[in-house]
Amino acid sequence: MENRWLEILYHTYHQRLYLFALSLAKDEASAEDLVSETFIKLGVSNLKSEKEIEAWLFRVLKNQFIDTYRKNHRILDEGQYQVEWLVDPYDATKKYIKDEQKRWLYRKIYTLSDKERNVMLLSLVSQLDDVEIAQLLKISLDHIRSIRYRVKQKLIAYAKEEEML
Amino acid sequence: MNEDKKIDDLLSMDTKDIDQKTFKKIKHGMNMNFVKRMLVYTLIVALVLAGAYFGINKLKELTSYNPVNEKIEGYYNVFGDEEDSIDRQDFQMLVSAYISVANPGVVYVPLFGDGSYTNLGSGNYEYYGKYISYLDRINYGESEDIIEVSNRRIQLNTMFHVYQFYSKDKQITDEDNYPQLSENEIAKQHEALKKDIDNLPESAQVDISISFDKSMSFDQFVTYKQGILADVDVQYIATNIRDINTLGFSPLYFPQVCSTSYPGLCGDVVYTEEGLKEVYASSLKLLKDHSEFLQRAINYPYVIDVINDEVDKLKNDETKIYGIRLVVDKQTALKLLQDENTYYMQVFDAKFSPLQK
Repeated sequence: MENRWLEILYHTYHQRLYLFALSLAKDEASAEDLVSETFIKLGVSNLKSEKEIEAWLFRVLKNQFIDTYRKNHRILDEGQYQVEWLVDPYDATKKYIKDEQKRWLYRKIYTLSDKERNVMLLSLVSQLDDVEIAQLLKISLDHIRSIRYRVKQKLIAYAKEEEML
Repeated sequence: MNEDKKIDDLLSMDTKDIDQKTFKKIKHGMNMNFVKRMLVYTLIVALVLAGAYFGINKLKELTSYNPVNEKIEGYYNVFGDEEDSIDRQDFQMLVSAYISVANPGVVYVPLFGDGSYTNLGSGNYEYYGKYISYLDRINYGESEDIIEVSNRRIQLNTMFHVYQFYSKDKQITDEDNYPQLSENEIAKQHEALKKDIDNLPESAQVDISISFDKSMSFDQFVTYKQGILADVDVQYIATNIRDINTLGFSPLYFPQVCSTSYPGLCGDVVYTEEGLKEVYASSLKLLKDHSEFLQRAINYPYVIDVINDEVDKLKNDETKIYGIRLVVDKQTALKLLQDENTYYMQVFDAKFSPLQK
């Protein structure tokens, strides 16, 4: 098949890109649009190795989000944005997270602050290392680690409360 | 620690990465895709550029001066031959008319028909014909002279002698720039010329110009012609001298244009005051009516004003004849040199016999 390579990439990265896109756009349709536009840009990229693909995809997706929302005057400052949730994340992730318990936990993550949510999602759904996440979100390595530790404690407490642990 | 592990398991997603082998395939596919896109873009850009190039050229041709569009008003074919009127090239007739008015000593023999010109594109043309001198009565050989036409200029590529005529009584204006001759100079020149002509064989033909001692009216000129030049053809009649240029007309070599607008250019000239005036008036009007041609063909822009002045002068009967150019035999040349009406005579060329090619 002529575009088989695009299909392979789509199957491999679509789910994790969508979960991160949903974290940014807080809307199912906008998240799907962001993922599609990211894949369209793949055609003109100049990637040298397989290790670069994922970081490149997340970077393009984030930039695509900033561009789109800047056009709509919804970006207040660099990295700070005000987007209201238009859907319940529990429903919006149904297609990609089948396990209900897991989906409840992810719902909890989606309700965190922007910074905490993005750090956790990139740590959980992507294969990016902390350095790549720090570069992508433009925050320090220590900050990433402390956010992740703090959120994990919150999630443990929540899981206990819900008798998942 | 145990809780940490459990929560990690709960949150973990089943993700896998692309291996190097798959990436190579992907990269190959991406490259092919890129190449295809580049090919399509290149093709589109090439098509756009080619379209623009041809479009601009076409536009240039449409907006450029096109000598093929020159048309002589009121043209009719005296022989009633339709083919002849299709083959006629009005531009060639204009060149011929201009040469007969402004280039004494030169005749333009144009080539007519399909091969008379080449369209070089972008408003550039080449027209073919041949320049001959008054001494070359027959046009030998190929039409090898080329007139180059571009949007801005018509390069006639003709050669002519400067300062062919002098005048004693012409009012010299500030713009005029030709030397005055002293009596002494004239006497010396006449003496040398007489010697040279004396040395020619009796059969010799001489191409000369005569500057008149006193400018003549058309009427006076006809009387003069009937006297000393009764059996001689006058090739050129000079009616205006300005700078190095001369303006006038040829009663022999005007273009044969049969048109209701220019009646003086059809058939043989009637050697009367009216007949000569008609040739001159028609020649001037033909040029004046084709300003696009004239502006490009003339090297000295003031000549256009001179042509306009001459049209007015002719209307008001103020035209003066300053001299003539003609081909004569040895004895006539000597007679003209001594004639009281001759102020200054120049010899441009000679051949030993009328049979000499």
